[in-house]
Amino acid sequence: MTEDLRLDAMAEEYLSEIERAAAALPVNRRAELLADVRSHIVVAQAEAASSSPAGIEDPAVMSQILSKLGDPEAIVAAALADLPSEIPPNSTARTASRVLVKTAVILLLIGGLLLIGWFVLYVLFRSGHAG
Amino acid sequence: MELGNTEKAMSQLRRGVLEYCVLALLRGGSRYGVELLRELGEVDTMVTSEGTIYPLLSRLRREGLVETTWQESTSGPPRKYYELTPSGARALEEFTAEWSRFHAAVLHFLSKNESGNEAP
Repeated sequence: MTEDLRLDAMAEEYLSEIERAAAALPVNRRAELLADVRSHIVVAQAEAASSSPAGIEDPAVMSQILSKLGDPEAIVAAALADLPSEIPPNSTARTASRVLVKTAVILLLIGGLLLIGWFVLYVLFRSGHAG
Repeated sequence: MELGNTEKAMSQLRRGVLEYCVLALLRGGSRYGVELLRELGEVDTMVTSEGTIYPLLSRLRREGLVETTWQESTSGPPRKYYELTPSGARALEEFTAEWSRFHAAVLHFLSKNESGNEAP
């Protein structure tokens, strides 16, 4: 599908401005936003082309589409504004893995102590026999 | 200075109510982004920066107030259509009732000031 959504340099530059501004967004949010805006540009361009003979090649049409979309920073700000009210998608998974790591370390320590215990018993048993 | 304050207040109000205007438009059937923006643009001052509608639509989808489907088009690429869900319709109903109360309350104070009737 991406091949169908290729755009001219002006639009690609606009999209990379959004991408740069959206660095603080979670990956899936950023990808969705970029896909939505890209799709908007392609659809708006196709609709402008079907109603005007200059069509797709007209740079004035593209610059109007982009200026109506507005400041990339403002678009990203709107996406960022929704973040604090929602639970970040990865936070629970991250907490769970931290708990797992702690449990593993504790189990290894207990396991190690048990092994040392058995070893000490074994040595005592051997020396008891020898003596 | 005063104009700046008005502009700030309006922008905050707009941010709060825009999603309900979107839900209300979707009551008339599913629509894709460009289509929604065209209709919102018919009324002045509702949308100042078109691109900000996409984070809003994404949030409405995550909240389960709208659903999205891809549909082929006769011209150009497929469109992502937004459709009102039953829970979106309920949210819109609740807001509509609250908004009339809110509107009446604001008008009550604004018109009080205007007539010059000050509290004793």
